[in-house]
Parts: sequence; C-alpha cells; structure tokens
Amino acid sequence: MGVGLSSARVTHYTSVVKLTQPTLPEEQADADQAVIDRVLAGDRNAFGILIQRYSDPLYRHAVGMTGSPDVAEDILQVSFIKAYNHLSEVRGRFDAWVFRIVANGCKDWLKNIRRTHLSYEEDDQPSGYENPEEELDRGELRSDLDLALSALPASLREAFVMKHVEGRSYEEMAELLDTTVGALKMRVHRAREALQALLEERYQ
Amino acid sequence: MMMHDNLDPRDGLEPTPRTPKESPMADQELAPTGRISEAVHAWLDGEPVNQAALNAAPREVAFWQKVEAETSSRRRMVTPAHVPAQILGQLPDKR
Repeated sequence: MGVGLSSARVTHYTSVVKLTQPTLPEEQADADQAVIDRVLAGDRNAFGILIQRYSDPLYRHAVGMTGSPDVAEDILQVSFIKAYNHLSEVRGRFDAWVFRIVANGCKDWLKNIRRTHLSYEEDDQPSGYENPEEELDRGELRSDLDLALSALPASLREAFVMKHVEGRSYEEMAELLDTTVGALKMRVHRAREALQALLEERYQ
Repeated sequence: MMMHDNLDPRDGLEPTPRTPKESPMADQELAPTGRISEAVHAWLDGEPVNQAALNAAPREVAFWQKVEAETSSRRRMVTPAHVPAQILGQLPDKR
C-alpha cells in the first residue's frame, strides 16, 4: 500500500457506526395496516399503538434536526395529529409516511428559526436520555456537536442525523427520503467533512 | 404551541417528487472535498476498509470514535413518557 507501516503496527478498527435492528417491512406494514383499519373503523385509542411503535425513532430524528427536546416534542405532537387526521390517505408503509411528515416539520422549523434568529440554546429542557447519568456525562462535545450540526444545510444535517444518530442504512434512508443511495452517501460524506472542519481543532 | 409556518395538511403526506437537486449534477455539486480519507469514510460506512490507509489516519479515527460515542448515546434516547398520552389526548374525537 506504500504507507510504510509494519504488520506489527497495524491496528484493526471495527466499524464504529452501529446500525439499528433491521425491520421486516412487509410484516410491519401488515401489522400497521391492521391498526389503521381499527382506527378508521372508529377505535381512536388504537392510534396509540402506532404512536408507541414509532415515536422513539421519530423523536430522535426531531431532536437531531432541531437540537431541542422541547421543540422535538411539539413537532412530534403536531405530526401525529396531522397523521391521524389524514390516516385514510396512507399509501404504502405507515412508518415512511409519518417519517416524511416529521421530517418536513423539522425542515419547516429550521427555516423558521433561521428567519427569526432565535437561538437553539434557549431550550434547557430535560433531554429525554434513558439514563440520568448520561445526562450528567454528556460533556462539552454534545453542545459543540449540536452547534456544528446547526451550521450545516438542512439536507446534510438530515443525512448525518439519519446515518450517525439514528443508525439507519443508506438503503433505508434512500427509501424514506425518496432519493438515491449515491446522493445520500455524498451528503453524509460532506456533512462529516464539514463537522470535522468545525470541530477538529478542539477534538483532534 | 404551533411550530410550523406551513400549515398545509397535505405537506409530507405524499412522496416528494424528484427534484433537479437529486439529479446526477446535484451529486457532483455535493462531491466531498477529500478532507477525510476514503478509508475513514468506508470505515464509518461499515464497508470493506483498506486497513493500511485507515492506520495512516489515527487522528481522524480517534476524532470519529469520540463523535460516535456521543451519537450512540443519542441513539438510545426515548420519547419522554408523557408524550404519547399527551398526543392521544389531543386527537379530535371524530375523524
């Protein structure tokens, strides 16, 4: 390879990005459709099953995009109510459909926040981490990463959050965002470069 | 609290049509600058890695291991317990 490393010095790194559990789209879609049918037949509370099933990944996406747990809650709430009101219009996978509603909500919020010059740092609500010790131990990198993410264009930020925070595969991202794996790789790679440029002086 | 400017209820309900931004030209515009080596990108993407090239970038590897430690903690975040009930409570009685 021409890099001059002896075999004794070679370190083998395992991939650091852990993918989330793969889903079984067909079974999942069938199960979701059964719940949707119940809701459309008048069982309003059955909608809670869909909320429980999908709120965590959607919440993580909204927190990643907005940098604010409080705003993420609001976006989740508005999005699920919108989904409920238009449930009869679901075509295809419910999870992809509701993801697009949340993703658009996040992008609307980002447009709005940039127009009104509000700060992401105004929100000091609890983060929703499972373990309180994580909350105490998140350190400076967390706020620096949020700040660096907020400097990225929405499309790069979205791609980075879906890959690195949500742990999605490029194929899954392409399906959710209705674009190509190649385009998404480019966005993630550009996002990494931008983040490294913003953070490397302090953390490298 | 209303967060959205755009209250069009159709928003997000249909797949977004392909736009010129997603054309191959857009991909060219988004091409990475080469600041991070291909080996590091491949490693982060979970793809086969040129190990020697990766070993040649120990600072980048260390940097991304720190970032991953933070992002993996975010991956365990869950929706605050009160939120699902709050959403359910705000659904209209009649669809």
